[in-house]
Amino acid sequence: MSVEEAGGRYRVKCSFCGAAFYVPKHVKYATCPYCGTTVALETRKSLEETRQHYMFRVYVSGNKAYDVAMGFASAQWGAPSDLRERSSLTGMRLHYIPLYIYEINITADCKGFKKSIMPLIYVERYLPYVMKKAGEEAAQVSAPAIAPLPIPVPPTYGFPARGREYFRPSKLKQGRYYQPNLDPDKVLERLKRGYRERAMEEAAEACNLVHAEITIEDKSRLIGLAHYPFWEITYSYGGETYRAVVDAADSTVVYLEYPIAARSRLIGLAGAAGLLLGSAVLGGIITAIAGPHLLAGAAAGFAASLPGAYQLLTRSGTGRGVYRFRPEEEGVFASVR
Amino acid sequence: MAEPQAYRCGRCGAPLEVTPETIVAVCSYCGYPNWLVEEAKENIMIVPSLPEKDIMGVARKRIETDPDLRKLAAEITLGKPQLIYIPFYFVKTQGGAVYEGKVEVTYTVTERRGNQTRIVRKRRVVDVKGEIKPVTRTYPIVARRAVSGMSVRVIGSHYLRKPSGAKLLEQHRWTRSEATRVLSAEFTRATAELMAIDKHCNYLREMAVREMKSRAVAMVGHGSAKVLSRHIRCTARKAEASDLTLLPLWITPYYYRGTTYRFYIAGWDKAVLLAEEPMTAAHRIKYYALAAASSGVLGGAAVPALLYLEGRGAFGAAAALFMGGFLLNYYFARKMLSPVRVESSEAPVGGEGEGLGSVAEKVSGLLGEDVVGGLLGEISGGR
Repeated sequence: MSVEEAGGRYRVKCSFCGAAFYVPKHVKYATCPYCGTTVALETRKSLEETRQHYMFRVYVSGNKAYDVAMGFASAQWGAPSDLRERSSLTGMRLHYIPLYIYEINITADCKGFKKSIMPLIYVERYLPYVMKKAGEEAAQVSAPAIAPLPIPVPPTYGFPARGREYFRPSKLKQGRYYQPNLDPDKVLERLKRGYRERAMEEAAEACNLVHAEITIEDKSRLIGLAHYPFWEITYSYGGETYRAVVDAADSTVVYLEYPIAARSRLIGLAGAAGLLLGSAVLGGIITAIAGPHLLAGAAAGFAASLPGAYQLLTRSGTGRGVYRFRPEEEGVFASVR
Repeated sequence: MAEPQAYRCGRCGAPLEVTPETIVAVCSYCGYPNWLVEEAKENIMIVPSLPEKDIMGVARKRIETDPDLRKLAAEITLGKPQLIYIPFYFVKTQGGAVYEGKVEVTYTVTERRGNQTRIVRKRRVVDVKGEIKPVTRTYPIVARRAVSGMSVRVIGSHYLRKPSGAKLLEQHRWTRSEATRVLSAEFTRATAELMAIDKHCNYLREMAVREMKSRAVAMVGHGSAKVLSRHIRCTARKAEASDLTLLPLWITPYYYRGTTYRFYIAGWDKAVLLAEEPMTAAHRIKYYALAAASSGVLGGAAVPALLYLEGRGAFGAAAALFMGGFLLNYYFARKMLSPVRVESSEAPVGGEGEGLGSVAEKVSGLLGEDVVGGLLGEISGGR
């Protein structure tokens, strides 16, 4: 097996079968497309030192992704019952989105002076004191390595537990493979800001010293790069085009546009009106029990039901629903991964 | 560049199918198990899974007996379950906290003037100081980088509650298909220990805040508390990670009217950890009614609060009641429009507040726990 640089890429010659193939420069491990032998392009260092690059396996085909998107669209409120029969697939494209993987490790020490009373003479004095690790943050996170993102993917999207595999040159032909265009250090800086602030806050909260000064020790680092596959699906229904993005490794629908049936739009409008009215009547009754200010109570009930009415009205008004997977809403408003 | 290294079978020399998650690669030509992570032989524990047919049995039973799914059972078909073994460190963490601070307690008193009674809201600020004795807690940490997903969090917590005999990976009998479902660890136990300490200190801080509030309320007698200033320090921290333990998770899909839903089942005791279920019309109507009721009742109650409460707190109480109604209305309306319902038998340990819990926190922060806590307990108890 030999490796040499060739025009910004590596040319790898497989020692097992003798075939030659090209890989992008950030690749550390590659699988020969002809005989399936996996090779490490660098000598293996310890687990903590190796900068990794891997991809996630496509478990879901394009047609399956369309099927999943259709099924999920049918389960949405207001989707027409003939959605699947009358929709047609107009396009599918696989995107390999590059994501940086980081380990966050930040500790905050607090330096200052502590009051102490001298024995025997009872004089107050302040002695220097360091409170080690008064605040700390440790986490494993990923962030997109390209901007702008070509498809709507949640910015804090995490990985499923399984599905990692090494680079295989044939992947380049199957989908669109994006090279990272963001500086990994800058991405880390931006990502760390929140963690650093939290560590500082924790330290400030822990520290009751005089003239306190907080110092940060930051051991966060870049672990490597992963290419994650998503299907971008477009389909048409009733002359309109809709778009969906489906995780190609674990089939989670991360973005979905879907039509809302005319009948459902009417129900939605009536529902919004009913919600506002019902809440206003209830508010009025509650207030009337306590005193004479029925109208004020009705107005308060009306106003408090605006968020629900708004959600119904936006769907009914436009006739187009948009679903976005938000990791923090998993299990509550969104499905589970 | 150094001479690259190729992965081949130690017995027959055939190329091995290797992924970044491979611990042991069973050769597809001669069946010989090749250990890629040498240290794995002694350090990894595996919790063996029950066979697939048992898992199918549980899924089938769930569909037949669940009060919601039972009605849809005729239209449901069950898919083939998939097994993965997920690596965990269980980190036993010990630590306490010292705290001091100022807490404001708002309480109401009924005053009588002649033959008129009126309710007055009053405030008092008290100093509290104390210590939380060292608490020991075990945190499940997934040994995979940047992994997210509720199923993974929940299976770790479930194992803590219902552990089962783990054995050395080396003693496990491998089949080729099973070997590819085992995931290797991506970081060491030292990293897992750091992560657990971070979680434990956050837990202790929350505990300290709760204790500060309850002590302040106890000093005043009754009322709701708000922390004005605080110093909390996490003390005496120790963490010790278990051996890497592989937990079997079964993802079992089922299909209803063209949509896929999933059960997440623990492989060792067949517990259904999470169940995705269709959002039926009946549920949508229930959430619709809850949305209208919460905004109507709480929004309406804001008016008398503003008019009849006296003292400085009246405006705050009214605003909080109104905001409570507003947020709950938002919550239930979104719930109504959600495509799936998720039923969970476990609350993850060390997880962030989710869903109704986080709404409840926001609302009770505004209003004081005594009012909203009771109300939400009522609502979520009825779900």
